[in-house]
Amino acid sequence: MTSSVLQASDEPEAGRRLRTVSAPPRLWWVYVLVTLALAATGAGAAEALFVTQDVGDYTAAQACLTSNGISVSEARPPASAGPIYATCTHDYNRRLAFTSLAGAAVLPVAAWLLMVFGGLSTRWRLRPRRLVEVPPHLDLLTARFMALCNSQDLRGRRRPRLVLAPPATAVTDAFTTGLPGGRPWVVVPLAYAYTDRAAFDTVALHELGHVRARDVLWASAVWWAGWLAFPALVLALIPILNLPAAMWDFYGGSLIIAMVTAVSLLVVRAALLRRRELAADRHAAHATGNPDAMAAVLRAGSRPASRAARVFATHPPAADRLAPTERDERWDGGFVFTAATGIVAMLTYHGVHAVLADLLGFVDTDPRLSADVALAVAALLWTSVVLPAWTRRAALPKPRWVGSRSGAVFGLVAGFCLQVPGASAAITDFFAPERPLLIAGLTLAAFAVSVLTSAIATRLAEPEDSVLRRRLSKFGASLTVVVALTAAVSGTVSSVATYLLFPDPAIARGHVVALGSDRAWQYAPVLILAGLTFVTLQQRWRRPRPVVVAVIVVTAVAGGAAAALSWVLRVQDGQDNGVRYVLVYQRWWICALAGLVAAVAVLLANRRRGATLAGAPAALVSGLLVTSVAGAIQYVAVRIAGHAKESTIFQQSVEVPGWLLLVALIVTLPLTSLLVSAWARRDPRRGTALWAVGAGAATVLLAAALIDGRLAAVTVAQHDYEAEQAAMALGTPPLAPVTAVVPSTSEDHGRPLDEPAATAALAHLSAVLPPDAELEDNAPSTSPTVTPPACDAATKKLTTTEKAMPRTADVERAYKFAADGTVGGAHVTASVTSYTGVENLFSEMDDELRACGHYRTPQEIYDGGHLDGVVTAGPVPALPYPARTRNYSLTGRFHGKPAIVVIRDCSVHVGHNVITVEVFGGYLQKPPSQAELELFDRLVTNLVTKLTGGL
Amino acid sequence: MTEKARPEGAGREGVVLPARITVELADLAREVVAEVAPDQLPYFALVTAEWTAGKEPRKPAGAWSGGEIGLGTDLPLLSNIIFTVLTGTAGQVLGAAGFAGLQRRRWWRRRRTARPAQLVLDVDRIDEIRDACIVHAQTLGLNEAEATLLSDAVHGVLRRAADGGRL
Repeated sequence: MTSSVLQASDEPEAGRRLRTVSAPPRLWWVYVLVTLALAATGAGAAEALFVTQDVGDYTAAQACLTSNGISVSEARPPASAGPIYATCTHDYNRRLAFTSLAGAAVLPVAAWLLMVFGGLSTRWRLRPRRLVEVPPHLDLLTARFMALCNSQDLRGRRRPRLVLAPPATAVTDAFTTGLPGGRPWVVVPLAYAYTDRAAFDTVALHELGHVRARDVLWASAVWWAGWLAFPALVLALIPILNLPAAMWDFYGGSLIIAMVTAVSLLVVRAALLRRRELAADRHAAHATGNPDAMAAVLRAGSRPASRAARVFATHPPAADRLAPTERDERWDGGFVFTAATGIVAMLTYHGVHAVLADLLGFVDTDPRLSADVALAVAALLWTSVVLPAWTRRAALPKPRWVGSRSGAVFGLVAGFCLQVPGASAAITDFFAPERPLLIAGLTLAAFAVSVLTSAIATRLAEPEDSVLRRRLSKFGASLTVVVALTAAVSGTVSSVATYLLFPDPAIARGHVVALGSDRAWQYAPVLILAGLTFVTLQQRWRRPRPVVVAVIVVTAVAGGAAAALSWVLRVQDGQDNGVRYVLVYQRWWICALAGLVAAVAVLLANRRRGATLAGAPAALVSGLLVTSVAGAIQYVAVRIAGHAKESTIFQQSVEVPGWLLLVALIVTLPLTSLLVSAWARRDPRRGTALWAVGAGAATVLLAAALIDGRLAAVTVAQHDYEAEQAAMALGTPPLAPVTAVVPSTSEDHGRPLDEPAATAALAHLSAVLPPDAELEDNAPSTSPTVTPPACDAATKKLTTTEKAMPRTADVERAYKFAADGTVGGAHVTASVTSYTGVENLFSEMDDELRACGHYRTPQEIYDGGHLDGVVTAGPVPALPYPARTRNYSLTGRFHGKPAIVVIRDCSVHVGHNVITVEVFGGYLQKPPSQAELELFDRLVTNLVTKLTGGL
Repeated sequence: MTEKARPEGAGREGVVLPARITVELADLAREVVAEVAPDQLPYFALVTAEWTAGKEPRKPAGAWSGGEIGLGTDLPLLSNIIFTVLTGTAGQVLGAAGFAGLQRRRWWRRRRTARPAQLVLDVDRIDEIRDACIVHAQTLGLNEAEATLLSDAVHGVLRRAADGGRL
């Protein structure tokens, strides 16, 4: 409080002219991030609602899958289940995708409506009836406010409305408010009418700074995003609130993440607002031309805050506001900024991936399509937010990158490993067994991308007058970062996934190099080269220094020659594919290593003292050029030697080494960055010949080490080809190991049996049953009335026909054994029925199968007194006799909990005899796992095989 | 309005001076504002109306919607803080009994005919009021000079009342 406050005055401020100043930069990226965060949260909550309300008819999809021998409790379906899995889950996935999309739209709309509602409530609080106490003579203040607006070019609809708030409105602090699409309001307590003009001008211009930066809307949007994140998920979980244990099992992690997200959003909002207050303070100080004006206002009314309260405080302490330094610029592109961007980008990836996978699963069988498209979207988002911020950061006097890069790594890795609250954790669950490997790989990839982005930003921050060149370089920079980020993350993730599926380093290594021929990533080196070339156009063309040209020429020739020689000197006629595979990839790896040497050498030789970052794009361009030229040289040499006649080899010889160079740059970055930072402290040395010879020698040494096998563990090794072929052969594994049936020729297996012979056939089943199987009493046969009537009629017809057939023996054995997840264990019944004639029951069975695709059978103990069944034909065992396998899946609820009964039934006709084996088990809450279903299948096959051979 | 002073003592020139004075708080505040910042009197009238209606003039506006970006600092205009200074000072000097009568009205009491808040003070404690007033004014953001100026005004008004003057 100053004496001027005690001595109120309406005197105009004298001696100072108002200045037009530039508006504080708008935080447009916050709108993007908060909208996407809301969309991801909404999609996750909608997915939770979809599950808890069973919008997709989960039981039908589950029944279909289970009856086809596919478990729904697994993170991924078996490779052989593709078409059946897609058919069974088509409707479910489509509904899920549209529900997620609806949720992604609803939550941002809800936030927008709440923003409108909040703005309207403020206007209601400041309704005209409450403002009547404002004395009419204060029109002068309104005129002054208009003059302030005019000074900042706020005219027409852009001009905010001034509201003088009397004590009755309880407004004690000037503020800005607004409605989406409406004119903002600047609300100033009436008390300012009784203080000096300078205080009013300062406060009004501070608020006009917020108006010009449009701070109100993003602040409101983030506010509601924070407050909606948790309740949205809780609302979706209402249907299972009465099952707290199940809710915690399935959604405990989601609830924690939603809570952390909500708090984080509010903390980040507060931190951002503190920065915006400093920007508005500067706006007022510059516009008034009086840096002390704000100090007078702040000194008067500052309130101390506790340390804990400062985390959520939307205003910085008065001391910080009175002495703003350049430190307040460093938040832009700093750790929190980049980490938040990375997390939102990756949450967007998860959301887009889920929707695309659900929608496009039947369009393209390659699951990487949806993943790669989603990654490209996330990379575009990350780049469009981070690259401009880092460019601003690079323009600061002494930019620091440790926090920025750490934020990039943390955000991208944590965002990928997190699940969207409420959404299926399919991806995170899939990678759970190899999470450390995934995190290590992603950390390496994200670090490489962050270094590349900071280097490009440093280059972009250099002044350039040409608008065209500036735009071209920005385009090239964005293209480079998007492609690099997408390729690096996609390559890492798919390589770890490959290692998960086939835990063999040889196969994972083969996958990494094979990505160079991938339909999408084969173009990554070319796109990056083009983008970086545009980046280097930021400045006028200058002739390259001789040392750069020399290094490029020498490494390209040395690499190409070494690669060609490695082939020509070792290739022989009659070599098997495994050896040729190693020779080809070693050729390409040598070209890539030549590019790696060139990139590092150019970076070090071409640097200005201590400034290596700005030279990184040019060094990378040099590396890619060297690799391409070396690839072309070795192709020509090999072609002259009479090899590589296929038309695609040249393209591969250029593209694949380019990809391998990117891999080498990423993997070796921790080492090369240490080397470069250590070397950069030394004075730049001239000596073109020395650099060229050194780079050439390093290329040759690396080539020799590669050929000698010293780099085999990280490049290509003997037996990689065989491992890859073996993995491909596993693409469609057999469903169950089947014991080969070798029918004895000594006896007629189809002869009619008497009771002792049938009993004897069943006597040795324990050999193929689980060790704990116990004989149990045979259950009486029942014939309930099922619906639809056609199914009931078909079932009864089969039963009647079968019972009417004359027989010589009819023996059945029932067993019980412990099986994971079942209620009371699983059961096996095996029977041998010998008829006097050679009958064929399969026509009736097939009729039943057709009529009972979906049916309902009465079961009193279940809720509603029934179970819904699905029956499908299953694969028949490899036997030389006609057989039928039927897979039954019955679903319902038991005391409110989901229940499922799985039945495998197989009948084999062997002449006069019919062998029937049935395995079944009941599951509560959790459906059977794939391993359990495969156990049932294996049991059926082994029992039928045993019985057939024992007749 | 100030009540009639009771003749419990004698002053100079044989005038009987009160040993205890009773002052309406709103009158005391208005006199202080009129002395220190007379231009604020129209605004002070609005503040007084809110205060006597039982509302807290310094209660911060609600920002539940997140759509209000404030300056982050209140303007400690004399009219805004005078009631807080005076009630705090009275509470400190006169204790709970003296303070009870000055507590802010609650909203559920608004319909009652409230007795105007009064300050009942022994004359020999006026100096204590001045000293306490300096402390409270500084607590509310005034610097020492401003706080002293305000306290002197309060002291002067009370002294005039003790001397038989009208508020």
